[in-house]
Formats: sequence, structure tokens, C-alpha cells
Amino acid sequence: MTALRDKIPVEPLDAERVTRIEYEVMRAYAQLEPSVHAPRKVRWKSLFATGLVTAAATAVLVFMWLRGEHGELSPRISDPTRVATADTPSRLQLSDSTIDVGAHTTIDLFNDDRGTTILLRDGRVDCEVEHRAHRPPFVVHAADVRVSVVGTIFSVERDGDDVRVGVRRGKVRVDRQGSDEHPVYVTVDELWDAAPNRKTALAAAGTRTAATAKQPSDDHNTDMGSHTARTPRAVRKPGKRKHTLRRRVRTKRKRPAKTPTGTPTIATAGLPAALDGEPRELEKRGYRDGSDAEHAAYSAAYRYLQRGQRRDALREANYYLLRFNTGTHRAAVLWLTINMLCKPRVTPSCRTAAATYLQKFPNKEPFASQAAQLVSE
Amino acid sequence: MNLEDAILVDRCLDGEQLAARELFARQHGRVQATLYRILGSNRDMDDLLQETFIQVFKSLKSFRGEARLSTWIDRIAARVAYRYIARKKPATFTTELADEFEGPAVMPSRHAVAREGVRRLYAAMSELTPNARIAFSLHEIDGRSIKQVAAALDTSVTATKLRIWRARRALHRKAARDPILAEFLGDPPANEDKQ
Repeated sequence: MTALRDKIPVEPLDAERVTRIEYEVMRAYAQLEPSVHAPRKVRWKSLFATGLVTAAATAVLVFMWLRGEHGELSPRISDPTRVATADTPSRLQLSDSTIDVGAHTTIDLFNDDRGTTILLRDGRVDCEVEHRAHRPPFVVHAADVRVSVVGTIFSVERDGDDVRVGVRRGKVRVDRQGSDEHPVYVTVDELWDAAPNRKTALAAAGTRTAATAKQPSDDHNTDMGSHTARTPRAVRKPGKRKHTLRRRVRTKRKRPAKTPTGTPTIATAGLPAALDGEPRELEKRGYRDGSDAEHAAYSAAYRYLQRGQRRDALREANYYLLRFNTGTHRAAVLWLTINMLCKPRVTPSCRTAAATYLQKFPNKEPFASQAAQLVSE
Repeated sequence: MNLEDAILVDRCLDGEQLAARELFARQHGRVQATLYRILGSNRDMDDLLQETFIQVFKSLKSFRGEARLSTWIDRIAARVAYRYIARKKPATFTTELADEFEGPAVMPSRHAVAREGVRRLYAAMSELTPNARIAFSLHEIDGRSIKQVAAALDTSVTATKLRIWRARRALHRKAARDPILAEFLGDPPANEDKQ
């Protein structure tokens, strides 16, 4: 009865099915949130303010409805918008991104408050996307390749199963679905090709993707790529409503806690000095290549933590640990991670982080003994 | 649990959608493979995959980090599969089709025999108890060790061995009457039929 595994290969799911399942799971996850997270203190002031905002929003909606403008509401989230171009490329303008759909291209666009997902069926899309740190995710699926955007100008080309990703500004993350390979981060002036699964410099690749077509410039409002004659009109399937360019109502960004009360106590003695500056700026420097990128990424994590922005700090620390495998500040970043995961209480994640620290840096005092204490707790 | 998983779990618990998507992207292939090997080709696969991940996110708070994240998710997938098998009526399996292949005039291709073998194997497996079926498929089809199967089923190694042995015995009894299934399974161990 041996080798049954080889006789029964698993039927892979196609990208469209995976996208739909992911969508449903994320929808359920959003509804789960209150029970998943630690219970919060009821704040009557915020409740009252929320009530007021809800009442105002309802009033506006009723007013619009009465005026007969309800037809302009955006499409339901579960309905993708199919965009198929013929000889002329098209441009879609969303609230925080611009999508240029190349000629002879077909895409399905899912867009709602939980993010934007593009299913590239064939052809090429060029996207200019604002930084996603505080925004819902922006993802492009092409065959089994999944491109998650950090905040960038990039293009994805698909010809059958051959997918190429070019980046002109910022960074994207590329995952192969159903594969155990680590994700690939494609950064400025790099081109990633699915077939050999490797990155090359855009210039060396010798291909003229949309990402390379435009010379680097600070003016991002000009027309993108090689689309010189562009018609801002998409050929859509009959019956599909035009994608409305509704301005998204954004929730107010959470302010960082004030330094004296919100600052967690970090055992900073022995940690390398962090660069001064706004953590957001440091984070951007950390994404770039160069000698100080590593120090900038560490400093961003440090400064975020110092400000009490735990989530941002954790994200940045994770980025550092993934990217700078042999970084000189790795021990310090691990220690910052322990600080984040172990407050307000010691959790399994905290113990794992402490154990990792002990394993990697068993003699790095004073943190090693503190880590040992956390593991044994 | 490794550090990367620890951070990911923490971010998911913190309500970060991006982290939840990352967890899905990392694990859905593995979960699908697990479900596929237990249940075979199945039209409810999408729903089961969805149910598994919803269950994962619901239970993430109770994840103690003693096992690897992937093992813990496997356990949930196995539980989802168990519920699915338990609420489904076992499919009735007939040997009528076997006769078609026995005739000397008809020499089906290897591919057709293999496909029919898979179909018959899953039909035979549908008559096993859910626990035996899951243990068997994870060990024999998915190629996991007994220890890994025991971890995925949250049971002891001895109990897992017993379930696999029972499943094998039942399948070989079936195979004794079905040459296509017998060919597909290969030769039974010498001591198996004496039990």
C-alpha cells in the first residue's frame, strides 16, 4: 500500500476559487473581530460619538435615497467588476489607487472597504497604489502568483501561466499559491519572472514593461507606462454597472498615545542607538536598498515602540527579521519583538520569541537571562 | 511554533487584516491538500476550506503555541473533515464496474485503471469509521508519520496505529473481491489477511 501519495495527486484550486474563498474568510474574520480580540473597556464617550456619526450617516443616506441618487452607490462587494479591453488601454481611478488596464487585457476587480483585489485573467495591469500601512490591502492575482502591495508603482503581466512583475517605485510581495517557498520581495527597478522564479534588474531584463517605460520622476500624476493614447473608458460586459469612484469614508486614524502615559517600558540599556526621526520616514528608508536600510528598519521599529504604536512596531520588526537575515541589529530587533509580544502578559508567542532569542544569542547579556526567565515562566 | 508564526498569530489576534490574509495565503495549499487526501475529489471542497479557516480564526485565541501552527491548523482541518464525513451518508459501492474491466476483450489504459482505482479506494474508504478513514488517509495517502497523524488527530500513537490497521484490514478485505482496487493498493502485507 505504499506510494499511494504519488498515485493520488491533489487537484489544485484555480486563482479565482482561492480569491473567492479568501474573500469569504476575510468577511467572516472581520465579523469575528470582537470575539477574537481581548475585550476592551467600554468608553461611553466613543459610543456616544459613534452613535452620532451613525445617525448622521443614516440621515445622509436617506436624503440621497429620497433624492433618487441611490443608484450611484457602489456595487456590492461580492460582485466583481469585469473589465475587458480591446485595442485601447483603459484607466480605472479608485480612491487610493490608479489601475491602468493594458490593451487586450481582462481583469476582475473586487473592491470594498476590506481591500482591493484584482484577478488578472490575461494581459497587463499597471498600478499606482498609495502606501498600504494604514489602508486595506491591495492584491493582484495572476495564475498562481499573488502580488501584495506595500505602496508602489508596479506592473503585472500575464501570458498564460507566465507572469512577470516589475516595480518602479516602492515594494511588492510575491507569493506562489500552494507553494512552500518563501515570499519574494520585489523592490525598485527589479523584475520578477515566474518561470525561473528569480529577480533581475529591470534594465538588465531588457523588457519594456510599464514599470520601466517611464523614466523615474517625482511627478506621478502623468500618464503611466507606454500608454500614450489612452481612453478613460473600459469595455464592460453588458449589465455591469460602471465602477463608481466613490470617495471612501475613512475612519479617523488612531492617534499614537502620548509619550508619558503610553510609552511601554523598554529595557533599552545595551540596545544600539536608533536613528532620530519620524518612524514613517525611517520605515521608508528601511524599504530602500543601501547600507543604512537595515539600521533605518531597526530604528523605525524602535521608534514605533517608543511611541506606543505596537502594531506598526511589530510589523516593522517582522519586516526586519525577514529581510535582514544576517543583520547586525538582529539581536536588538528580536529583543524589541519580545518586548512587544510579552506585554501586557506572557503569551505563547512571547515564549516562542524568547526561546528564539536564547537559541540564537545564548550569551548576549543582559537579555539572554531575561529571555530564559520568560521561557521558564 | 517558530518566531515568524508567533508574530503572525499575534498580528492576527490584534485584528490586522493583512496578517489574516497572509496566514490564509501561507496555509491554504496545505489545508486543501489535507482535505483532498481525506475526502478525495469533492464538490464541497471550497466550503470545507472556508469552514476550516473560519474555525482557525475563531480558535486562534486558544492556540497555546505548543505545536507548530501548521500542525494545529491540520488538527482543525481534520476535525472539519470528520464532521463532514459523519454527517454524510456513506456512498454505496458496487462492483458492477469491476466486471467491465475483467473481460479479456477490454484492455483499459493504465490511466483509466488508476482513475478507477482512486474512485474505488475512496468509495471503500467511505465505509470506514471517520476516525479510521482520517488516520488512514493522512498516513497512507498523505505520507505522514504515525506521530504526526496522532498529533493531527489529537490522540495517542497506539490509538492511531490501531485505526490505521483497522482501515487497512477493511480495505484489503474489499480488495480481495475487487481486482482493480487490489491492483491499485498493491500487495497486502503477509500477516494482514490472517487477522
